[in-house]
Amino acid sequence: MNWLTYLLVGAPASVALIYFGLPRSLHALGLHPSYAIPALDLRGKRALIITTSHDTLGKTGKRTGVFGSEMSVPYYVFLDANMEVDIASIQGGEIPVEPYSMGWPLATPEDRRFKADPIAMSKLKDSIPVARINPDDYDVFFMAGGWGAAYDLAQSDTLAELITQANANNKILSSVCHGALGLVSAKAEDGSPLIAGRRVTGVTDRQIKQLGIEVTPKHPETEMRKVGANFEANTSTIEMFATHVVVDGNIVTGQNQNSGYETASRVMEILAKHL
Amino acid sequence: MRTQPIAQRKPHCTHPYDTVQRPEASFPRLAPNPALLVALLVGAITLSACADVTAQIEQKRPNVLLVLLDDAGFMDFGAYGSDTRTPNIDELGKAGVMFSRYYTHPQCGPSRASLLTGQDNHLIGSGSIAEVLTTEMRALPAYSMRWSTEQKTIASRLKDAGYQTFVTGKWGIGDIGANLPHRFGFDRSWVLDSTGSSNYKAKSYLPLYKTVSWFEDGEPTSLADDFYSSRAIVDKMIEYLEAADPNRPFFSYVAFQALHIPVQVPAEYIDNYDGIFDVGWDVKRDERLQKAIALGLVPEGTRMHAKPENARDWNALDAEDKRYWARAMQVNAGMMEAADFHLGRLLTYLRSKGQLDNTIVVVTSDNGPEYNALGKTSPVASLALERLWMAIEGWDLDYNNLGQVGSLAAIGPEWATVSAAPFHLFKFNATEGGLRVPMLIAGPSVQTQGFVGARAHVADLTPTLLDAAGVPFEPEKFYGRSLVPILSGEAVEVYEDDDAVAFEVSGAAALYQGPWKITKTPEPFGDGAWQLFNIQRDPGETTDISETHPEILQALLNKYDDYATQVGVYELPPGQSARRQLTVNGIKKFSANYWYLVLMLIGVLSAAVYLLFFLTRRIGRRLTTTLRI
Repeated sequence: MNWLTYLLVGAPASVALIYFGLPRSLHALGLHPSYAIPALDLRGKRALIITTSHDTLGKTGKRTGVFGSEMSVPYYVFLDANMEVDIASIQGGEIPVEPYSMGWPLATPEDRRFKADPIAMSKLKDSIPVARINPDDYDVFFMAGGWGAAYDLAQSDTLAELITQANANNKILSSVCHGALGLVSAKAEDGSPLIAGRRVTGVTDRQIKQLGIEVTPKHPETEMRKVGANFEANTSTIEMFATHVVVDGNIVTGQNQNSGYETASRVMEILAKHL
Repeated sequence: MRTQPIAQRKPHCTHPYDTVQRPEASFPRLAPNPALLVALLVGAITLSACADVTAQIEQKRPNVLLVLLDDAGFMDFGAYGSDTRTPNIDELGKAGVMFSRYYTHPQCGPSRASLLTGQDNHLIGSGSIAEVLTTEMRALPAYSMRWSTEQKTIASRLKDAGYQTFVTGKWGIGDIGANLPHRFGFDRSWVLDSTGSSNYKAKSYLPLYKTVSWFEDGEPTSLADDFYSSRAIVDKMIEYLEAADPNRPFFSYVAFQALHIPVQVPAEYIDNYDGIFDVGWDVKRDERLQKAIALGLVPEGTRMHAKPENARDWNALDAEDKRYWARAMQVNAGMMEAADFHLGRLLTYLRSKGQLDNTIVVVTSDNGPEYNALGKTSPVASLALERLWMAIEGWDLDYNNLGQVGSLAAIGPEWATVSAAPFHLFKFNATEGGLRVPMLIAGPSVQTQGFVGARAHVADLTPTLLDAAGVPFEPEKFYGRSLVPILSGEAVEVYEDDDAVAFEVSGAAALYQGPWKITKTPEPFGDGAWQLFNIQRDPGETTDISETHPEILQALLNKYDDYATQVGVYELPPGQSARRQLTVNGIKKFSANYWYLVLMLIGVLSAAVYLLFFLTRRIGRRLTTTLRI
C-alpha cells in the first residue's frame, strides 16, 4: 500500500509545488523583476497604450497578439498615478492577446487585476483605432509589444504619422519589447528617421532566436539598427530574463516584457518634472 | 469629477420669499420742506407696513412636501401614460414641471440616502443595500450602512432655517434602526425601517427577516388593527401637521409603501381595473411605447429592447395564468390609485388650511419597478425555499385573495417591463428601466411647463428644495445641483454636455454625459460588460455602439473610473454578484431564523441515511446467508 500513500500525498504536493513554485522561480530568475514605482500624482495627464491588432503567427496558424504584461503593467502604473489611460490598436476593436501571457505561470499581478477589471477589459474589447487618435490628446504614447506587433507596428503608415506628429509636439514616446517597432517608421521634425542617432532599446535578435520566432517579419534590434539608432540592451544566458531601460530625451524604451514597470516609471518621472 | 455649475447660472438666493427681496431703502434725497415732511410721514407709515409685510412673508417661506412612491416605474403615473388613474398627481404635474429624464439609483436604500442628502450614495455609507453585502464590503466606508451623527439631511438643513420637519412611511436607509430620522433633523417621525412589509400589518415580505419594525420618534411602535399603509401614512402626516405651528413653514416627507411588493390594496380598487390588462403584457408594452412617443417622453422612432430572456410570452400562458397575472397587475394599478387618493386627502387638508398654494410639492419614485415575484417566478432552488417560508409565515398566492391580507402578490418581470416601458429592464439594474422614473415638481415659483427633457438626478432634489425654499446653501457641498433654473423657466438644462454624473449600486452602474450613457448590467440580466448608448436617440438601449465609438466609450470609462476611485466603489470579483450574495445571505438568515426547522431537517435526513444503511446491511447479510446455504 506504500505506493498508494506516496501517490496520494506526493502527487498533490508536487502539483502544489509546481503551481506555487514555478511563478516564483521564474520571477527569481528575472521574469518581471520588481521595481520601486515612484509614488506620483499625475492627475490631468493622459497616456495612450498602443498595441498590435495582429492575431496569427505567420502561416503557422498559432494565435498571437499583445503580450499581456506589456499592456497591463503600464496601464496600472499610469492609472495608479491618477493618469487617464486609453488603449488603442492598429485596427481598433478587440485586441488579440498572446495565449497564456496573462495566465499561469507568466501572469503579473497587473494581468490578474486587468482580467478582473470590467473597465480595462472593455478598453481591450473596444480599443480605439490609431487612425482616430488625435496626437494632441495625450501626453504619453506607449507602445506595447508581443509577437503580433512584428506584423503591423512598423508597417502602419498611420501609426508612423501619429508618432511623427506626437514627436513634433514634444510628447513622450515609449515602448517595450516589439513595441519599439512603432518607432522605426516615424520621422523626426527634419524628416530623418526619428530614432536615428538616438539611444534606444527593444527585444534583442538573440531573444527572438532563443524563443524560436524568427518567422516574424520584423525584429526590433535589426530594424532599429537599420534606421541608424544607437541600440543598447542587456544580455543573459536566457535572454528573456534580461532587462534594460533607456531614456533619450522624449524617447523612453524598455528592452522586453521585463521592462514594463521601469519604463512606465521613467516616463512618469519625466512627466512629473514638467508639471 | 464634474465641472462647476454653468457659468450663466445666477445664484438662486433671490427667492420671492427671501427677505433680501423686500423693498429696500433707496430713499430720494430731498430738501426739508412741509411737503416733504408729509411725504416722509407717509413714507414712514409705508415702511412700517412694509416691515409688517416682510415679517409676514418671512413667516411664509414655502412649505415643502416630498412624496416618494416605492418602486413606481416610469409609466406608473397617469400623466406619464399609465392606465392607472392618478388624478391628484396628474393635476400637480400639469400645474408644474414633469421631468422625462430624471434618474435615481436602482435600489431603494441608496436612492433614499441620496434623495435626503444631495450626496453620492457611497460617500454616505450607502453604496448598496445591507441584504447583498459581503464581509469585505461591510468593512469599507462606502458600505458602512451607517450615517455619522453629523450627517446633514434636507430635514436638518430646513430645520436650521426654521422649518418644522415631519416624516411618515418607509425609511429604509442602511442597517435597520441605525439611521432613524429623529437623529437626522426630523421633529416628528413615524417610519417603517425596512426595505418593505405587508401593507396591512408589520410583517416581513422576505425570508431574510422574521419581523419588521416601525418607529415613532425613534421608539418602536405598533400598528393599529385597521392599518393600511397608504391611508395610515397620510393620516399620521395630517396628525403631525394638525399639531404643527401654522405660522412656521413645514417640511413633510411622505414615503409610501406603494408600490413595493407585496402589492396589496382593498378589493374595490382592484375591481376598478377589470379587463384593462386582459390583453396581456406584450400588447400593453407596445401601447405604452406609443403613448410615451405621443406624450413626447421619448423621441419618434424609439425602439424598445427585447424582453428579458426568461420573460414569458403572454400568448403562451394558459387561461388560468392569464387570469392570475392580469389581476396581479390590477392590484398594482389599484394600489397606485389608492396612494394617489390618500395623497389627494393630504392635498385637500393643506388646501383647507390655506397652505397648499404656498407648498412646493415633489412626487417621485425611489427606483424602477420590482420584477421579483416570490413563490412564482424565482429560480427553482429559491422557489422551494420561498414556498416553505410562505407556508410557515402564512403568505399565499391565491387568485381569490390577490392583493388582500396575506397575499404576497407581485407583478413579475413581464409586467415590470410594462411599468418601466418604454425602457429596458427594471429595479436592480442601471438600465433606463431601473434608473429613470417619474418626477414632478409643482408649487409657488414653479412655472407650468408640462414635460421637460432636462437631465435631473436624485441628488439634485436636496439642493433644489433648499434653493426653492430660499435657504442658503453651498452648491459645491453637494453631488447634485439645484434644478430651480429649470423650474423657473430660466434654463432648459443645468448640466452641460461635458458634465458627467454616475450611479453605482451592487455592480449595476451607469454614467451619463451629454447624449451618451455607459452602463453595465450584472447577472442575471446582463454579463457585467460595459456598453455605450446614445441615450437621447436610443432611450430603449437597443444598440450598443461601443464598437463604433470606442473613443467615447473609453473617455466615459475614464470618468467612471475616476468617480469609482473617489467615492470608494467596491468592484465585485468575477463570479460574484449581488444576486448571488442575496441568496447566500438569505439562506444564512433563514437558517438563523428557523434553526429549529434546519435541525429537524438534519434529523430527518440523518435518520433516512441510517435507515438506508441499516436496510442495506440487513439485505446484504440475508443474501450472504442465502448464498452460503
